Amino acid sequence: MKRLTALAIPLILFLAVTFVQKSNAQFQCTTGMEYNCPGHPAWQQRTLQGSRWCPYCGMQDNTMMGPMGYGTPGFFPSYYPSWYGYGAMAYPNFFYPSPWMGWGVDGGYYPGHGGGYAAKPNVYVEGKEGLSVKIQVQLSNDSTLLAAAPIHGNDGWKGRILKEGKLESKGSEYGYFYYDYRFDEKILQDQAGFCALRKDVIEKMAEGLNQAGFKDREIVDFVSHWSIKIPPMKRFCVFPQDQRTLDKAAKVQIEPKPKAFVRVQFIVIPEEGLKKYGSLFASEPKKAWDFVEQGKPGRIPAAAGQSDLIVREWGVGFLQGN
Amino acid sequence: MEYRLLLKALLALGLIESPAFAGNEPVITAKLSAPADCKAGPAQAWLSMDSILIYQVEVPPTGELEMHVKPGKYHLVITHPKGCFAEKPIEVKASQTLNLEIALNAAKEKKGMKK
Repeated sequence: MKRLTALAIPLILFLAVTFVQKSNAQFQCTTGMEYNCPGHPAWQQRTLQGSRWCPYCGMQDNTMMGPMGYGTPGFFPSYYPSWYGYGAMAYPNFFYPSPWMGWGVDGGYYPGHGGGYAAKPNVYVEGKEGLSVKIQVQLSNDSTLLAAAPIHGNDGWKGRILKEGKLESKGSEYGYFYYDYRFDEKILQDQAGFCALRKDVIEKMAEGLNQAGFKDREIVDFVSHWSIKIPPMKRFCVFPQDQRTLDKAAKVQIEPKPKAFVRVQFIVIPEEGLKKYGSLFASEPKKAWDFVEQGKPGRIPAAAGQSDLIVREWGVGFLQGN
Repeated sequence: MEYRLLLKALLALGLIESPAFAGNEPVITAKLSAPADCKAGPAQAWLSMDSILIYQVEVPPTGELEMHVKPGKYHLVITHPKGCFAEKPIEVKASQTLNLEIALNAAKEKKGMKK
């Protein structure tokens, strides 16, 4: 009996400590810091105190290299999308935005040319319920459409605005119009932006979207996707691109003409990828990016559009690796 | 003579690699359908080659999508939060447009795709 007790006490202590540790990990996201937890009702209620867009809640990074050379982040967002389980089990590069090589996209898997990859630009539409819209992405000769939902084809997307900015197209309800494309990276600006550790970089981009006028639902989509799909690397430099720059690779035509079109794409480069593109992205950003000021040239003046339509597009881009 | 042949070969290679030929890459389009219990909420389309994930696209379970790829063998999977599921191996050749109709079924069945 004594021997059994001697064995049981350490076991109970071990289980208790493990339980407390796990509780504390959750505690960070459930008591007092709810506004940091994407998906939590308090987070959605726009608590303006402190930082609202932190998906990692101060967790420590213990990034590990996984099978086939793909790394796995040692910490995970407090909110898991429903697709997380299947993707993490099925694909070794699930924690990357694409097939990955060195510090960037493995372009050998994709058609087209150019070293820039716009991953998941999402197009959101705000306007009167029932209004019909047509959105067409006009790619330059150096750009290649990679994916789209709904089907974009040559004619673009047609849809009708539903409640809360959702879109009906061919009888199905979309949260946004989506596309990926490949483009010539030489069009990009490489002077303004910011650098941050992986645990902070999503928060900084999300805060930028907030300043640029994106709605909560749109930022929630951003955070829940990119907190998982940003590669598990230590530190990144982010170079936001505005509408004038992006128009060189892909113009977006919208009917009826909108009152405003806010467009931003974050070019995300792992620290080790700097200085690997010749004179382009040869150093960390030399100046800060002002989302409010920088967004203005891309905005269409109020008098330009007759409708109340407002369109917002966020995207994240990566460069080809080596 | 050999020099001219080499020159022609290089010219041909250059043409194939030029952006003008980019439009000849294969395209996969998919139109989805789902049973009543899986019609709400977005599904995920996963396109992979040798287990490497190429595209992950959020799409309504009755919606549609397009994916531009290089010729080769792929594996397409559709998942839905309520367990509906579909999968299909795909082979696409140069210049081919593959139009798929995909019916999601309950997770236990895992069939129901037709081309």
